[in-house]
This record gives sequence, structure tokens and C-alpha cells, in this order.
Amino acid sequence: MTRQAREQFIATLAMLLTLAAGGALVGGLSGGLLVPVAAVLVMAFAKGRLVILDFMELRTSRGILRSALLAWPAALLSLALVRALAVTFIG
Amino acid sequence: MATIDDMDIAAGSAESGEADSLLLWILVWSELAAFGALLIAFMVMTVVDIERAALLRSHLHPGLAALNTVLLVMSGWQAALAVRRGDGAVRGPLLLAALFGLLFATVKLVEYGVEIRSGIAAAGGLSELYFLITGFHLLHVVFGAGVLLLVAWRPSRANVVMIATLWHAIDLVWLVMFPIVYLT
Repeated sequence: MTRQAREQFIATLAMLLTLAAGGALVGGLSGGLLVPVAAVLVMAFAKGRLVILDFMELRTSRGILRSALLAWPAALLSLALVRALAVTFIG
Repeated sequence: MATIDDMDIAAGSAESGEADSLLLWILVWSELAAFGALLIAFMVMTVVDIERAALLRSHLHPGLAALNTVLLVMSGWQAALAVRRGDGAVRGPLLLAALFGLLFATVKLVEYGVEIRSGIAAAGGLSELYFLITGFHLLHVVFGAGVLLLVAWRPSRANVVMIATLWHAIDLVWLVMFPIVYLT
């Protein structure tokens, strides 16, 4: 592994840990409000994206596999946002 | 000069590699589909029965789950490091990945104990679904950690790539499950 690759690899870990701590903190303090909930879901997608692109080594891939893998967390987290909207405005 | 036998062996090896890769991605997608269906069922149930969803949330411990997120991220990082090292020193990262996975399982079991003692069963079917989803994931973590230990014992490039990819899928499932079950 080159020095640049190693530094990028460590930066990915640092970002993942920051997002994990940030997501837990915002989620814990959200009180069910819509904006913090949306922020938590965006941070969760960012974490999943980093795992897919950097840990699974699909960053340079342009195939359907990468798009499909990114679509999986995007679809579920979008549904979670719809659920939060439904609970806020309907329930 | 390569003989016809050599070429046959190389072609067979390439086909075997492609078949392994196809099987791996079929396995990964079957996991993602199963967990996707379970998480959608969980979200539907929390909308249908908002009161019990709130009751369930009051018994959960997002702090312990956040700790588990950190453990699984560290574990995934070590697994990715093993893949990047190629045929070099992969045992250390694989053992650390397994260790972090087993720590995740320990924290999860402690969390279950606290939740059961606090009376999470009052949330009815929703608590059962919670245990089904997180317990199914926990089984994957324990199984994956066992396979990581096996591969660390007898490492080969193909096996390291295979278990690391599967491990990242398990990691990805948790990263999506965590906000859906605990935070939103």
C-alpha cells in the first residue's frame, strides 16, 4: 500500500468514527424532531457509502454492482425518512 | 511455453474464481434482501402501532448500540486492511477484525440482558421483531467472526477477499439498522 493510499484509508476510518459518534449524538438529542432525524439518516448513508466505496474497494468501479449496493441503504434510509414524516404530520 | 494443459488449468482457475465471486455476491444480496425485508416490516409496525414503538424505544440503549457501531467500523477497517495487504501479513488484521466482532457480540448480549430485565417484552410483537432483526444480525456477526478466525488460521487470498466482503455487508446492515431501530 502506498503512503497516499494508507493516509486515505486512515482518513476513511476517521470519517466513519466521526460520523458514528455524530450520528449517535444527534440521534440521542433529536427528541423526535424531523431535522435532526433527517441529519442522522444522511449521516448513516454517508457511513454506508464509505464502507461500500473504500472498504469494499468499489470507488473506481463503474458497474451496476456499485450502484445497486449504494441504492440499498439509500432506499431503506429514505423509507425511514418517510416514516418519520408520516409520524410527524399524521400520527 | 505454455502447454494446452497449462492453459486448461488457468482457464479452470479463472472460471472457478468467477464462480466463487458470483456465489459471494449472491450470498451478500440474499443477506441484504432478507435484512431489507425485516427492516421494512419493522418500520411498518412502528407506524401502525406508534404507542408500542415509543414503549420499545424507551427500553432501548442507543449508547450501547453506538459503541457497537464503533466496534464494527473498527472491525471492518481491519478486514479491509487484510485485503489491502494481499498475501502479506494478514493474520493480525483478521484476528483483530474477529476480536472486534466478538466484542460487538458481548456488548449486544449485555444490552439484551438490560433490556429484558427492564421489561421490553411489554412492547409485544414489536419487541419480538426487534429481537428477531438484531438477533439475526448478531448470529451473522458471531458466524462471521468464527470464519475470520478460520481464515486467519489458514489464509489464502481468495478466502480473505471473500470473508472481508461478507463482513463489510454485515457492517453495512448494522450501519443502516442502527438509525432505523434506535435513533429515528
